Amino acid sequence: MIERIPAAGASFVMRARHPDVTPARHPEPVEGCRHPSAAPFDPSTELRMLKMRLRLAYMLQQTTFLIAIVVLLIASSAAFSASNSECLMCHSARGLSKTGKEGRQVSLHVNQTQFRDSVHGGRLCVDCHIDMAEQKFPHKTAAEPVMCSRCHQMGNSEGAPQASPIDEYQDSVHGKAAAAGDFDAPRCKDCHGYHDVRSHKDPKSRTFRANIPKTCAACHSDSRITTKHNIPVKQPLKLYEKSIHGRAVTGQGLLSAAVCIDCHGFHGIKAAKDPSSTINRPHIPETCGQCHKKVLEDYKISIHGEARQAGIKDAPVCTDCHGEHTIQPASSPDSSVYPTHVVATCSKCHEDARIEKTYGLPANRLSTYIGSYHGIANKYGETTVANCATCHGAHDILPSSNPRSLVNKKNLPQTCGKCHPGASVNFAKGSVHVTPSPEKDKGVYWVRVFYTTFIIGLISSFAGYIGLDLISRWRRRGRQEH
Amino acid sequence: MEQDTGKKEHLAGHELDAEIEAAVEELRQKADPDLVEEAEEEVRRQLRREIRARLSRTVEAREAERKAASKPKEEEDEKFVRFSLVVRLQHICLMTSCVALIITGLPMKFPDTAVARIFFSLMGGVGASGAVHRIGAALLISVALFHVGYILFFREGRKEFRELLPKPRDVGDVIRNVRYFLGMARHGARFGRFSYVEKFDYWAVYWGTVVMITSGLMLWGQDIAMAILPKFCLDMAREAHSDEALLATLAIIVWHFYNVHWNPDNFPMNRTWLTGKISKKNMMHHHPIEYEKLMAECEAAGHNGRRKKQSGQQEVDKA
Repeated sequence: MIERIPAAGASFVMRARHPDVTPARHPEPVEGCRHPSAAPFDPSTELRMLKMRLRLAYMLQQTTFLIAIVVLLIASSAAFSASNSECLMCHSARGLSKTGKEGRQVSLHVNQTQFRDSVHGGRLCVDCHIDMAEQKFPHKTAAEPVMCSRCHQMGNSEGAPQASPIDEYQDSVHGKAAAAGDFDAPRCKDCHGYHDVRSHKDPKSRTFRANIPKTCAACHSDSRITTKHNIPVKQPLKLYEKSIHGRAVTGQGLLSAAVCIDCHGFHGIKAAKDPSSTINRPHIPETCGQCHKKVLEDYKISIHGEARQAGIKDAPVCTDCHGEHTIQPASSPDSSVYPTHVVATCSKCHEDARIEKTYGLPANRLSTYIGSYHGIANKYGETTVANCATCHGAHDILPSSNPRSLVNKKNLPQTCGKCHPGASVNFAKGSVHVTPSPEKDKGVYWVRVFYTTFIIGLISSFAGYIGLDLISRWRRRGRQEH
Repeated sequence: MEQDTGKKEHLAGHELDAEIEAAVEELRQKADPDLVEEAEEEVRRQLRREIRARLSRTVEAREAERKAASKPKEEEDEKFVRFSLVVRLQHICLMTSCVALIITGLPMKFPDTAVARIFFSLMGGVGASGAVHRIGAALLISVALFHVGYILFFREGRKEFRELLPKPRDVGDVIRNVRYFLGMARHGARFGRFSYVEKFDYWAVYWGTVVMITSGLMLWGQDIAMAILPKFCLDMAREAHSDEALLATLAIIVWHFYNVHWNPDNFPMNRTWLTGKISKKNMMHHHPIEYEKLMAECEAAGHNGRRKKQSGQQEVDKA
């Protein structure tokens, strides 16, 4: 018995390593072994035998331990592969699908490569599809929706990453719609993927920064969805792709440029009309200011920024002048703040009779500008002439009464001097937006009155004279001929 | 033309034959019958040759007549030199600069009109238009300065300027003409070298040029002007420049164009600004006092008017 075991043990270990051998099989007795009782007793032999037995016992112990480990390993791997392969027996078929809600075809195919490469590649199907763990295969009932939050919650034991608390999603416009049973509302999987979930740091991920616009556009460029849910911006991706942010991300691969989530938020996304939304009017400067920090600082001290702080709804925020999805740099001719477009942009409010009246803004700013040489040249595409922003500033705009204002009388020589070298205090003597009247800009007013009278008087005298001449010629015509 | 000649010859042939036959008949009655036939043929031949020659002469003469007819009538008339070359060149320069200034200036006065939009897009923007405006301005300033020199240092200039000075008589002329137009007077005013119409044109340009150049230079050199003058002066200069431009344009179109183009006496155009000459008929009609004075002068000088007068025949020869 003792003699045959080492041989048998060694042979087993060797064979057990071979994949064909199942761990359940018991080692067979080795043929041709001698029975120990058949040998005569001999003390020296007995001692030798004792030493040998001790050695063998030690070896046996070691071998058994090794066997146990190997058996355990093989058993566990077999159990794992058996579970996923059972699912994949059907779900690896490409054409596998079912008719889902609203009569849409829902694919039930699981791409094994994609799954293996996903962050969940090492997991069992039933880790997420927990309701399937109890089912016998093939399962009769459809799988329940996967609850990602089972793992992805604060302090979970699995170490699943958690970007924001789950209730942030539940409070979002998407979460609320989903809770209300809206089939179009995106769930986790719609943005993060199904079996192909990847880390947002993975360039192949749907939630990788450069891929986010397309991920959102999956629904937001779908006119059926945007129409049905009355989403104000119909084709945001098309607009965004042409913007400076879009071109930076898609063209230059600049990951720091704004993508959808930077302005709109992600899990907690809310409609613009929601007062807690990042894109709700009063919050827009802070949202843009996440990246455009200096601009935000300038804006805050400007008259527009102060008005916003005071809760005035009409106060302009970043998007009122720069646009939203279509935003362009001021140097681009497509920009609403391009030199030749600034005038129209400012006039949206500064030519609005209601706004002018409500906030006591000076009137006729546009008409007095477009009649000036600056205005005419600007209208006809000269980018070097002064537009609103050249004199008034842009983000740091202040009323002329403010001593820090660029258009304060004291600062005018300096402001005008940007273009008119050597501008003196003479630039501040007289108004810039000339409104001729008997009270203001009298000189221009009287020149105009003089010429108007003169032109009307003179030209009507000419017309009268010519008329008389022609009539008398007509009357005398016959007489002259004779 | 050859066909035409042939046809005429053919047509004339019939009349010719009748004439010839009459002559032959006459001959036959008087002469010896034997010689008649020979003589008849001889006469026919001779007459044909003669008449053919006469006919071809007629065609040539007709050609010459037609050429003469296409020439303006006035050229046959006696001509007087009205404007010297120096004056005409000044006028051409003034006209060129004014056209350039008006074309590039008016769109600036009415920038919101479709015409302005089209004009600026054709010009390639206000910058290019402004450059043309400044070129026109430079020409106007040059011609204005030259004119000042002309009326100061040229004998001819001083003489013309004296003639152009407004006189109380001009007011009388206006009243007289208006009365004439209204049928209250039998004759219109009689004018000397310059009528009140021309004097007005001249002094309107004088006034306009002073205003336009002064205000225009202020706007051109705005940074220099603003070093001396406050901004409201520039605003007034701009207003004056713009309004005076409109006044000048209207005066040119209404007053000047009526007097030199639309007026039935001159329609479609009085060519004196190009040729510098005026016909005797027009001279007597429009400037009778000058004509009379000129004639008296010439007679006194014993030149019989040759000094200032050129015969119409000479003009035709030149052409």
